[in-house]
Amino acid sequence: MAGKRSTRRGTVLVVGGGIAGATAAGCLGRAGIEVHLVEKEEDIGGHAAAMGCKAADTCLRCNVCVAGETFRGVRGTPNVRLHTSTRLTALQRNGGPARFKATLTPGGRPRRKPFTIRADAVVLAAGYAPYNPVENSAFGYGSIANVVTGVEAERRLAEQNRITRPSDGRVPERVAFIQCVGSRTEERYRRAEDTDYCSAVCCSYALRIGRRIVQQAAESKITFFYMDIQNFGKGFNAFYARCKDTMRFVRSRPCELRAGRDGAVRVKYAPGAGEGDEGRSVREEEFDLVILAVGMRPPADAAALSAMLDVPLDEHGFVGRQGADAFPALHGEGIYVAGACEGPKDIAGSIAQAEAVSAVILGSLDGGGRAPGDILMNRPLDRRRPGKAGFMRRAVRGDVVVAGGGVAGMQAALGVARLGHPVTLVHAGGDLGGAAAAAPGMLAYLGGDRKAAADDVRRVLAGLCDELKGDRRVRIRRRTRVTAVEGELGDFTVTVSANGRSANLRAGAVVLATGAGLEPTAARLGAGARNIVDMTGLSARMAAGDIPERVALATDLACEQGRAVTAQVLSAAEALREQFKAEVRVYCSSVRVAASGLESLYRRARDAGAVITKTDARPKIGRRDGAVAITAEDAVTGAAVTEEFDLVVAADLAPPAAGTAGGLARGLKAGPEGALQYDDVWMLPALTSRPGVFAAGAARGNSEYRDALTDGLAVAQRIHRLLGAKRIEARDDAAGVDADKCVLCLTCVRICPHGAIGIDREARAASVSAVACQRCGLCAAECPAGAIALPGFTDAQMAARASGRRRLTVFACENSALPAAEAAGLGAKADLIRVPCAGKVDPRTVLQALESGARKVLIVGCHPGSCRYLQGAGRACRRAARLGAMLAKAGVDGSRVEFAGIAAVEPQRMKELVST
Amino acid sequence: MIVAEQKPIAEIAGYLDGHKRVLVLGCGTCVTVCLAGGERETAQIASVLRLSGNGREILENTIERQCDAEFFDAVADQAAGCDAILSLACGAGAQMVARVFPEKPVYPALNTKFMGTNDGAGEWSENCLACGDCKLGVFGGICPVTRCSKSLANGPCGGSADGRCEVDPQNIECGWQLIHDRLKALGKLDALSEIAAPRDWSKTHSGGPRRLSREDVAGL
Repeated sequence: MAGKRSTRRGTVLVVGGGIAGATAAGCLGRAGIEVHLVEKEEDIGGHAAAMGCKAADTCLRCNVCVAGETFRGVRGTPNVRLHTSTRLTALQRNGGPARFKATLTPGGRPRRKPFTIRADAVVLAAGYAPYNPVENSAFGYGSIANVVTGVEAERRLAEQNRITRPSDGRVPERVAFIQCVGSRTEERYRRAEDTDYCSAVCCSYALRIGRRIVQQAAESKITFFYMDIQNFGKGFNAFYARCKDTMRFVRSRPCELRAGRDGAVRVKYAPGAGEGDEGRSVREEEFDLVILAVGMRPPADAAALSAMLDVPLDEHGFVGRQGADAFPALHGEGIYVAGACEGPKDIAGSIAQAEAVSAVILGSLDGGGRAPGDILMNRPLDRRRPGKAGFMRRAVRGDVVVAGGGVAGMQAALGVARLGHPVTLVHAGGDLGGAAAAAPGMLAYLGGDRKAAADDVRRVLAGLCDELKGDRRVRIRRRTRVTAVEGELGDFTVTVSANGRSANLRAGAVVLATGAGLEPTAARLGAGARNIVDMTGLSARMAAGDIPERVALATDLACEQGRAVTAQVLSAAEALREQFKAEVRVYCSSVRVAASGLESLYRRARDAGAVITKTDARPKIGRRDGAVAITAEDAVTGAAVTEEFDLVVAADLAPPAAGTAGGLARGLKAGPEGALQYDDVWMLPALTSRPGVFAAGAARGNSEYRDALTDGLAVAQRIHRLLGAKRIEARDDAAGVDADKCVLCLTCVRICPHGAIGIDREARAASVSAVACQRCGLCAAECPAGAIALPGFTDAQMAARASGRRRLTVFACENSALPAAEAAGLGAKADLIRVPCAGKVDPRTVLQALESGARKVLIVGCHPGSCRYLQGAGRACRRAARLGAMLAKAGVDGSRVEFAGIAAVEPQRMKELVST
Repeated sequence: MIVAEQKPIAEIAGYLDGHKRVLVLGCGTCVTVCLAGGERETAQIASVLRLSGNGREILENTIERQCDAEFFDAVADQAAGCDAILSLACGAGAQMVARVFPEKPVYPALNTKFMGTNDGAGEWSENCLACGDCKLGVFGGICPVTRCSKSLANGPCGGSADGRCEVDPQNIECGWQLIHDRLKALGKLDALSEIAAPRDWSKTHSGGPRRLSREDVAGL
């Protein structure tokens, strides 16, 4: 809904029109803040706009489509002024409101004069520079035709809908990825621009491109040359397992690339264990294409901007500091940093941080959130003016319940309180602070040394605690659990239980920050005995000073672990060496260092004398004469070695065997590995499947300490967007149920992705909440009695639109296929039938189209996994398969009905689909 | 509720061979709820049959319940003009079609599977065999006749392992394990020390097709 054009509510200058800058501008503009978005290039979009959708048979969560939507959305957001081809050339600070005077200098032609604007705050979102491997002659980049960077591979994917070789445009069969190019390089091996940190994004984009190549040509042979594979979130284990099934992984860093015959590239490397070739120390192998997974460097203008804005640079040249207390990226009064210019970050991380920064700015400007909330999650702003007819307006409660008193929950509670919302923080334990407070020493990567890091963490937690206790809008309920969440956005009833007594709290929104819901797997290895413990047991032993001589830290035992576990293990390894002089060996399959400071901690732990053994096969743990013996095959040398330890710490966490808290809120669809956030790109940054219920921190995924803080504020921003004006507005076009036809089969209640449908006992029929309903129409397409209709897309309307077409009839999802068709310039030629979601397409309508003469029906929706309505594309895909099979068995050509996935950022794919 | 699933379309099409005008008839009760034979499924099967051609005319309709004769009044005219009826009801409903329209060939479009529960969207399981002599009260609310693959009355057989049934360990839980666990949770395990007498199978279908008559309601 459009807010009223702002009167003087504050002005913010956003420097950089990439994903972080565009997200911040969108958030602030929606809230009524005047925004100047400055981008030095000709158009906004930054690097993300040049990336390609990497969906294979399903969405691989690269979030490029989300970025595309953000860029489309910000262009139409009220209060946002774009200044493209323009640079910030000077910034002066004065006292009082609108304290910044910024000089903006347009480039390009015709030449325009520099001008000044005043602003209350500045968001620096200057992005990053991809590492340029031309400096590093070993990779032959620039001289060998078929050696490309990941950035170039992305661009080919975006432009051509496939990865091809530069030399001849052919689809390559043998493809090698070389990981960590320019990243994670030890000082003595560094050349030119090489750096020692992990760029955090390369494993994820390279693996995704690899999967995409396999899908485009099943006979492709993909080889990954790598050191460690970073875990990029919940769902990683399943994804990585599929990767390992279809691609070859070689744990080695190639030393030289040479041009071969016919455009081939010869890669020289030291084969690791399991690669055969015993006795040969170096091998050379030929590939059709080599993709260098280049990482992120600070932006070229980081130093200039740092000087102009008086913001420090970190040791690597990124803007800002990286310690435990550096959040929320606030540097001096009124200057904020967001996105990859602050440190390597993917699209999801940049979005979360930009939303978090927006929350802080809105709090400081005391003006945001007056535009009425829009109940449609994650949709571009509806610019149609609310008229009297056909619009609904509802009052909503402004108060919030936050479940979980860890860092994410504390930050969320404070974030919403600062934005004026009364909040109840419900905490199961006694002391606030969660895992960070329980073991601040296990976050040693957050500082230059472990003592400083722990002190910083304690100080941040104490600061959060003090502010929470001092804020009269905050009520803290300790030793209390949330047991149920009923109701809908704007009017929830949260049941809490303490000492066996329960009470109901009312709230407009609910935040679930209840932790990862994972449990130590040590018990499965026979913990409980004195010499096998989990991380909590180790902390207790360290606190008691009860540490024996030989200690093993083992991880990746039950499944691949994430950064948070690696951080604990490396922190413990360093402390055990330095504090207790223990012999320390770490067993893991990969060292997960994809967060600022973690690579440094890894180096510190090794310098302190901890020995790291990487294994491909899980190590065997057994008892031997009072000690514990671990037998592990070293992944690099292939040698199996058995060693004895006095203490083994099994650091793994895994989902509990029994179900998780997913059932807490009715209709909340859980994600993989016990996450409360459904695994779909549109849930970014911290939404759940239910409107008004949010998940923050470890409860939603593989997060580390700073992600949890970011999440807390991002959630606050989203809640304020919904509840800030104390009312919500939307078109009154929710799905409707014909009570006479409803047979109470509960299908709609069960399949609604948003928990929006219940049973009206009086009417004895299903009933749709007009507030929670997202207007996707999945229920209408699935109702066996034809009792549900979505206004604008009723059965009769759809039948009329689908009838009388002769050739290819295309049902096009308005979130993906339609914008892709527009971008492809297909326009009227393609003659598409608009649907709110592919999941709205009723098989009956498809059959009617065929009966009325269509040669073929194509249902084009989002790639399953990137559906705006979570499950619509997946349902459409399965329905089409079922229908096709049925037709084939009835003697009709089954290929006359097909589903195809697409993202809005794939115009080329849309062209190809429609032309077939 | 009665749970059914659609027959393979090829089998359905086979029945209709040689018929020129067919009424596809859905049922609005159990088979609507179990997504096998309601208005939506009826429309789909009718469409697919029309698309498969053969110059056959296909009509469609869905009535409230095919196991009650009175509801067929609504389709009497349509039925009169057809030379066959395809019923998307359970076996009982399809037989009622045959009784109501004695001169019309009737074909089933569904396989009636069982009496069961709906365990989530698109999932059903069998829970009652209609044995006619319910002993759920003794067995903690879990039916040994249905949930035990062998309908044993006095504890599990040797094929129970890790709570699963040897008939199909992946998909079938051992009914007796469930009974034991549930009675234990209720503190009533001693109920199992009583030996259950052999079941009177004449009260089931073994005694022939059963009839039920309420004399206060019927026959006056």
